[in-house]
Order: sequence, then structure tokens, then C-alpha cells
Amino acid sequence: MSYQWRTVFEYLPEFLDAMGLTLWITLQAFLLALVCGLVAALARNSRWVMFRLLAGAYVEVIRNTPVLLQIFVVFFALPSVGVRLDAVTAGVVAIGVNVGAYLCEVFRAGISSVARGQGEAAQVLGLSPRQTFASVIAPQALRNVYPATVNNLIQVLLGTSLLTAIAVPELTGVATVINARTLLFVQVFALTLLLYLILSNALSFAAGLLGRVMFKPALDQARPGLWPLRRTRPSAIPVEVSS
Amino acid sequence: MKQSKTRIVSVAVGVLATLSLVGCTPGTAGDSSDASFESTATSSALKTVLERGTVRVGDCLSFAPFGFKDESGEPDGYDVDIAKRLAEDLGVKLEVVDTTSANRIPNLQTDKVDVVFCNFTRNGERAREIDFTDPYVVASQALLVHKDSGISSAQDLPGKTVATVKGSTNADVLKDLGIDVKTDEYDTSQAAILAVKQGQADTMIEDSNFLAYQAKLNPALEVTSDALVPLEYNAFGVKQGDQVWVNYLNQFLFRLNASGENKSLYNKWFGVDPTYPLNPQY
Repeated sequence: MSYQWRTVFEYLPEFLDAMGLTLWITLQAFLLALVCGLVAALARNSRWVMFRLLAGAYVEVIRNTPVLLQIFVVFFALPSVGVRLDAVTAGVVAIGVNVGAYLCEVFRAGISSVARGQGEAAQVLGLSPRQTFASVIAPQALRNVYPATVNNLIQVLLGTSLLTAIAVPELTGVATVINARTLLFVQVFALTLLLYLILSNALSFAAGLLGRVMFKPALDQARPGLWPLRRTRPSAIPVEVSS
Repeated sequence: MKQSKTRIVSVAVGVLATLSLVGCTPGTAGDSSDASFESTATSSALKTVLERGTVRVGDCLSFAPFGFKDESGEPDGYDVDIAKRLAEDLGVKLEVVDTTSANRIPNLQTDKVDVVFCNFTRNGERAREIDFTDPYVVASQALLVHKDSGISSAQDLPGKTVATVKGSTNADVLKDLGIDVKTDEYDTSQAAILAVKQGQADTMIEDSNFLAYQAKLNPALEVTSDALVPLEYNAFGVKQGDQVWVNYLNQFLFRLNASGENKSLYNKWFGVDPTYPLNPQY
């Protein structure tokens, strides 16, 4: 192994620490995004116009401005109004709120993808609106939008790289610092890309397994042969019968 | 047409060959060129400047507030103001030549400029290539802090957060002093300053004059007065071997300092009086 690679591998503990922080931020931010997205999706379908307006404003403002700028606002501007978040928290909040806006639209699409008859049938069977949503609409909606939701999880993971701008020592930030110290940019960035690939594939692998456990019958997912999901059979999703 | 061109080229080649032969032969031709070299070496840049009626000053115009271009594209800044005083003193016109840190010495050696300002730190390495005048401004590494932070020296720093720029070695100074701090590495110095301003970091370490200027732009911030590294004495650089020109510039600087004009120019651009004296104290 050439001395360049040896030099870079001496920094491996720092890379792995950074990888851990990246994963930790990703999971927290995605959890926040799920909550934001779900609340906003429900609010957008609410019968109160105030909720619909608020949720609409949230989605349109957040989805139509750059996430880097939102990170700067949360970290640099909020202290001026007395809200001081440390860099990691600021990053979690900014990315969680940002991806929440995208998830809101995903969830909304999922809810409206469930055939109207399902809700009506539940009503006829005497289920309360809450029960209808929790046991009839939501499971089918989530099933329909599961791949899109996993996409957003990956988007959160890759989005954490922007936190280097507010000095969070996550993977990209640590890579740029090590690059500045060693100037071995080919080796440093190649290793960083590899670590991101490992992270994102591990996450989507885990999400795939979760999907397999969660949905019966299993989701029909296109995956290369290597994956345990390849044995999925064509799904038997209830098909709406047009009258 | 084509033929005549060819002929001209061949004649030119012949002439050049003859000349090069002459150049090679030792004797009168060699002696006379030595003599002319001697005469240019003794004639000072001072004389050249006065005869030309223009002094060419190398200024870094991408290093506010030492040098920058104002709204109308004209050079302005602390170094440029001193260059204007120098031109006034010589009674000649000023020509500001935009220079970068990297080409300060080449510009002097190839006679592109008569003198270089550019926050030029004197060190032995450079003194082997060019000559320096007496210092006109002194720099160190200092701390930029919030006015109400309670930090007045590096001794107040243990456990605090220091904002630095990625790849800079500024925070290593503290490590050398044995002071344990958390460092946050930002992409630009502007981001690091913003972090201090907004309370996201406790302090930032940078060139003391640069920080003084930033504190002038952000009244909530101030620069501590203790020097973290040995003081850097910044001077004018000139081409090596021109003592007449160095002497002139030194006594120009002496008058600029003695009259208090340098101090008031510093205050104009950095918002405070110079922190460190121009002469080392023993």
C-alpha cells in the first residue's frame, strides 16, 4: 500500500467517529421529518381552513428555499431572537424540518392513493374517523409511499453533508479538514465516498428488510439479485373495481 | 510575396547568427556590456522614479482594509493611503499595481514595481531575496471576542469554543500553550466571525489587524490585546541592493511615524490605535 493510503488510513478512527455522527444526525433528523411530514399531511387534509393554510405555507416556504440557507438561518440567525442551538441540534432541526415538507407531500399523495371506498366501508362498519385512519387508510397509504419515504431517508443522509458549513464534524466536514491537513484529496475523498456508499446502502438495506417485515404481502421491489428481497412475489394489493 | 517573406526570414536568421557570434567573442563588446550593467546598478530607483515622474507601488487590492477597490474601482485602503503619502512626498504621480502575496518578490525582481507594501512580513528567507525597510505596521495573532464575553487573554480560554477556518493552523497556537479548547472549523473566516458574533463560538484566532478591522465593522465585537505569537513586523519590500532607495523610504517612514500620521491612518482604517509598538521592547 502506498504511503498516501497509509497516511489516510491513520485517520480512520476520525472518519469512523464522523460516520457515527452522520448516522446519528440522519436518524434524528429523519424521525423529526416523519413527525413534521405526518402532522403537515394531516393538517393539509384537515377540515379546518386554518390548519390547511398553515400546512400549505410550511410546505411551500420550506420546499422552495435552499436547505443550506435554512441551515444558516437556524444556526446563525435564530440566536438573534434568543434561540441558540448547538451546531448538531441546529442541523437536525433544519434538515428534519426541510425533509418534513417533502414527506408531507409524499404522505398526502399516499393518503389520496387509498381508494375512497375503503374509508366509506370503514365508516359503514362503524369505525370512528380515528380508527378509520389508523387501521384502514394509514397502513395502505404507507405501503404505497414506502419506497418514496426511503428515498427521503437517503436524502437526509446525503443532506447532512451540508452541515460542514456550520462546523459540524460529520463525515464531509471531517474529510475536508483531513484533506486540508494532508492535501491527499484523491485518497481522502475516495475513502469518504466509499463510507457514504456503505452508509446509504446499509440504510436502504435495513429499510428493505423492515418493509419486508412490515407489509404482508411483501412489497414488490425491484432489487439486484444480491439482495434478500429478490424472492418477493408479485404483490396482491387490493385492486379497485371500477363500477 | 511568399518568396520575399522567406527571404526576409532568412536574412533575419543570418543577422541573429552573426550577432550571437559577436556576443560570444571576448573583448570590447563584453567589456562595454559589463560597464552598462554597472551603471544601472548604481543608479537608484529613487532617481528613476523622480525622472519618470511616477512611483509604482505594489499593493494587494484583495486584502481589505490594507488594499481593496472601492465602489468606482479605484484602489483604496490603509496601504493605498500610505502609497499616496509617499507619492506626495516624492512629488510624483502614484501608480498602484495590484499584487498578490505570491508575486510580491517576483514583481520586485523583474522591476514591475518600485516598492511593495502588501502587509509584507519581514523574515530571513525573504531578506535573502529582497531588501526591507523599517516596519510600518505590526501584527500578531489575537482573539476576537464578544464585548461582554469576559475573555481578555488566552488564559481565559480553557473549555471554550474557538472558531477557526478549515486548514488554518491558528488554533495550534493554543495547543502549544497547553490550553485545551474545542475547535469548530468553518469554511470561511466570515462564517467564523459570524459564529462569534452570534454566540455560537466564544472566540476566533486570526491576524490582529484583520480582526481589528472586523471589530470595527461589528461594534459588538472586540480584539484582545495579548499577542499569541511573536510579533510580525511588516514593512515595504524593495529590490535587493538599492541602499539609496531604502534610505529614502526609511526616512519617509520615520517622518510618517513621527508626525503621528501613520497612527491616524491606522485608526482611520482599523477603528483603534495600533496595539503593538513599531519597535520591539527589550
